[in-house]
Amino acid sequence: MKPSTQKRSLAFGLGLLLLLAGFSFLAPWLPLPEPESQALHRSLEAPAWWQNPILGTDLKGRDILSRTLAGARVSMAVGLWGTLLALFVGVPYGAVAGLFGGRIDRRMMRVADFFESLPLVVVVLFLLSIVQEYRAEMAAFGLQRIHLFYLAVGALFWLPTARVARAESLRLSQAPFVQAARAQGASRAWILRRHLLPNLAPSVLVMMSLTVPRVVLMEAFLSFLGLGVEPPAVSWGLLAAEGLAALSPLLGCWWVLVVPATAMALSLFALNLVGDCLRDRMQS
Amino acid sequence: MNNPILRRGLAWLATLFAVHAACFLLVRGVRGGPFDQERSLPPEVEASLRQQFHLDESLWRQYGRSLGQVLRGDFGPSMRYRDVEVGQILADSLPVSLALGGLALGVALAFGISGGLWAAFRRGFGFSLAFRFMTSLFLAVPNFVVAGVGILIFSFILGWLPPAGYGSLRHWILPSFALGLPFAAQIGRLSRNAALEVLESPDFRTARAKGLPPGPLLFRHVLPQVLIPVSAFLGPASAGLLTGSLVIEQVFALPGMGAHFVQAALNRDYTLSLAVTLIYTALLGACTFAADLLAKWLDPRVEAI
Amino acid sequence: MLPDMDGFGGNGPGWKAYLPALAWFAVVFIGIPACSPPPAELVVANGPDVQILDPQKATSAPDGRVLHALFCGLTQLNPESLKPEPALAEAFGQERGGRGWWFQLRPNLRWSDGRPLTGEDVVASWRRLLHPKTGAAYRNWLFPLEGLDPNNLAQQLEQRQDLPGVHLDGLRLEVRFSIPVPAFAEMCAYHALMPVPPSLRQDSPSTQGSWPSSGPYQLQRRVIRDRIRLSANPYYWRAPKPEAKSLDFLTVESQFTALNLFLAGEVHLVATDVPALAVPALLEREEVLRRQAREHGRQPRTAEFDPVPYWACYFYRINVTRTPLQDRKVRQALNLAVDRKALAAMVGARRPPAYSLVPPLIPDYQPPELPRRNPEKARQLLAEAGFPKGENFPPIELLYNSAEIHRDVAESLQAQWQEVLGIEVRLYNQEWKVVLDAQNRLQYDLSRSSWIGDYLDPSTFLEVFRSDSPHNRCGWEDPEYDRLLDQAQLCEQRQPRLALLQQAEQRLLQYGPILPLFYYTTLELVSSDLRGYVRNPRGYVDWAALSLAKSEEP
Repeated sequence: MKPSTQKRSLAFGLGLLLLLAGFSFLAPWLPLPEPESQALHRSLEAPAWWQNPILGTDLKGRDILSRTLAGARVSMAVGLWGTLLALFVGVPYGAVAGLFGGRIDRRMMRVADFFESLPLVVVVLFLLSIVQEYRAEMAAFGLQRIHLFYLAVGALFWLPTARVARAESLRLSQAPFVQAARAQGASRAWILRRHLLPNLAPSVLVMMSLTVPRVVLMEAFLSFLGLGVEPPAVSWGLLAAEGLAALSPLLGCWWVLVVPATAMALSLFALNLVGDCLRDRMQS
Repeated sequence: MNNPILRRGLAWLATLFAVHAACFLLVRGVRGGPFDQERSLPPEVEASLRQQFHLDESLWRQYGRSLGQVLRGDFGPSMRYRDVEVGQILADSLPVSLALGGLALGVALAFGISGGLWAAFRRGFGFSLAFRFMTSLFLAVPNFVVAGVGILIFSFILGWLPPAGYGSLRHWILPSFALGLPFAAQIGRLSRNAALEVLESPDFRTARAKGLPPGPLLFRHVLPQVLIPVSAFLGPASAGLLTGSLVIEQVFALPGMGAHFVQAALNRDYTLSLAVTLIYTALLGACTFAADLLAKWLDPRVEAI
Repeated sequence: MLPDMDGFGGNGPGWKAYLPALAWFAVVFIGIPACSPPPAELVVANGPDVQILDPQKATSAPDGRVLHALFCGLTQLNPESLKPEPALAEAFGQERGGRGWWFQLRPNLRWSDGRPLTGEDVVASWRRLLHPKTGAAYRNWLFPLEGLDPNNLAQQLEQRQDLPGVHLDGLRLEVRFSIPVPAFAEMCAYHALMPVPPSLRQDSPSTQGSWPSSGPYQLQRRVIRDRIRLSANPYYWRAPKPEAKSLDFLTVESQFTALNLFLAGEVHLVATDVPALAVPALLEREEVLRRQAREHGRQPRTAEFDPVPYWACYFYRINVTRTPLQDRKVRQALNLAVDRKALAAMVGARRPPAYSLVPPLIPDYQPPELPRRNPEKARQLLAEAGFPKGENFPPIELLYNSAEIHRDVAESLQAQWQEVLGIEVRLYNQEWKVVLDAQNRLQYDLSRSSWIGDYLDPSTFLEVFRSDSPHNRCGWEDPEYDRLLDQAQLCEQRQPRLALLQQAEQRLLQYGPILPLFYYTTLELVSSDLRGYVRNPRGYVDWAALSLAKSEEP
């Protein structure tokens, strides 16, 4: 891609994201019905476009636009937190492996290989369904399933992060300034803290922008199977699943599926675009 | 331990062993018996059932029994479908999942490679933007949304394809496209990049300058080079297809293993969910291994096995 | 092809890159037809998967439907009147006010593999039903047999070859009970009492799926989570019935999927409920289709969707061991604050509001009624219980299993109680198994529940709340209630018996641990091409009578 095109797509992606984020954060002040307020007598009203319900109502008469914007907040929060958690685990893991090298590196990478050889999604699903039995106990500790979900996402996405971080820190640890610090007798912890982690920041940023859309997709996937975000909270995945479940030629309510799906597609598209552009920039 | 294939095989077995032990413990530790139903069973009946499934023995003996069953390839009767062997369920459902995965992979490869090549040959700004847009779109949308929109258009509006179920070839079209298209997008990008690299290489320019017709040019020079990165992607792709089939089978009411898996976990069908998790682990290992072998076979420069 | 490649072809994989593709084509295009069965003549969407194909062990409704197509009882029900009729027995009758029953078996009965079906099969199947090893949920149906000690069954059955209280003489079977069992002929039509073949009685995994049957159909293939394929049984006693030579019971978990399959013409009968949301649209569609038929002067088509009352009640359990719900006044206040009419209108599908547990479907049994909604009285009772205007009332939890309709009902009641009584109710939704587990361990305050009657008699509902019933699950123990049920059980005359049951229900409602909310209606979808289907309150289907109308040109 030409640099000019790249700049333009980056701007486009960021603009789209800002627009969506702005709307979803302003939603509570917009003249829209509450996302959770039900009106059973108004279920499945078609989009009215210029007045409420602008994009129609769902099975329970809830406003789809308002729900989609509320879902955006949840999905984006899940994407960000999940990604941060994955980075929080993956980056130090990879950085340490890369910095120490040798046997420690091999051991740590073998553990990563083991995780890679698991059908992690299947295992995570399995774990989530089991943990569900203990929801009452978890509630006593102020935990909800969404917190477990973050853990699951961390478990699923720390591997690629760790690999990238390892490669980067291998490269960095050969860099002259790290060698110089080492020659001066700096401890490894110090090198890790002062040299490696700060210098990993750009590639971590790229990693993050590439991971967020994957986490959002994963959230949608798990919510679809009934193991992600729990009602009455909404997320795009849940909304799309609801829409899909209610699809029938008899009811003809395409908007229940299409509206949240479009919102999800648009923002993931923008996120992917930003991620790709950042990556290309890093590489060139 | 120097033989890479042997080493890989041993690692695979160790993984299976670890997964089995972990799942076994988790599933036994969890609350809520497998036998509570709408009409609760009298205590002595439940006791007899527990005895039948050896739930009354010590954990170690249960573990030994379960391990022995797995080694024999006999998973015993399902706890939910008490008169059916888990082996029978797997024998019925595995072909469905494999067929779905195989068809989706076919869709992904056929559309991905041809789209990627086309995009590489036609390098207009508008076209490349359109290609980028299409691939980004399919990468950005979860497969159940693709499935839903597909059902909406091809089943409800046009009435061409059935909305669910299975039986004839017609039933397979929507599921395999819904599952395959996101991977087609990925493969399309990979093959476009690889093809561009070939098109810009001096060798290719020489061959073209010699006046080689486009057919042989494509099939002897470009496509084989494109298949190398694509085959490297087959490992992750098969993992993704396995995961995706969980959802797609649910959407289209296909009796594959994925649907079994989700339900078995929810129904606490200990024997079945354990067997399915193991099979997924084994399949994933086998698929990535096969993909790696294939990549190596196609391109001996590849080292990682 | 150019022979010289200038070293270009050397580092590419060349032709072998295409081999995997060929292999893939071979696998997919040989494999897929191999796992696709040809379609059946009649296709039924049967709801969740059949759990166990065994008349004595099965408990769920989808299992029951398939078993009734596979097996036949001594009697069968008339789908219109739901009265028992001769089936494997060509005649039957009762003696001594229901303490004794006799059945005359048809001569020359055969299993679907051609082997003879005899009275010994009936006795052996009943022995199997009773044996604790079998794990049959309905074994208590035979506990009243004369001379049988339910506490010592295993030993008693292993000591002898026959069954106490049952006397077999050639084709004549006589049954004696220690108490009147007026519904026994009806119970014989139910799958739990149907005779099963010797190979099924062995309970060995090696015979699974290979046993013969006695009903209109025999088992051809069972694919878990997909379908059960049946084919006509050539030895069925009503041969040449059934007309349809093959029958598929499809497993369709989602109600919307079942509806879509029906609308796409892939399914002829949706035996489970249609989604609640589609009910208005379906009723409207029915109206439109009828009008169209009238305008075009065509024959009136049979209704595809037509809800009729069902022998089942939707109610909430109240855990009477919890404070403040142990106070009867609090329970009554909760009852009086509910607007059942509005609730029934909300759930739709012609479901009537329930003011009793037993649906009013038996002509000579008039269920007692709960008082109607009365907010004043409800507030007053709550105040008497020590919570004027809901002050100091601890928040109570309402547990329900995850489904649209349950959530709607729960949310509506939450709002009503808040408004009328000023009390806080918190909603918890869980998977059904978890709800059930919580009910069994009395770990709830309020919980959603429903009960479907097993036979057309009030006792099938009322026995649930006996002190020692495993289905009680409310912690409610009332000796007077148990006494009334015991008395009714011993009563030989129908009218006094029903009067006693009515008293018992009155007591249950007055003191009771339940909030009846509405009665169910049957929500099945029947293709207008399907002949012989009769809607009834039991959802009972005479599978042998079903056939597909030969498609005629319109």
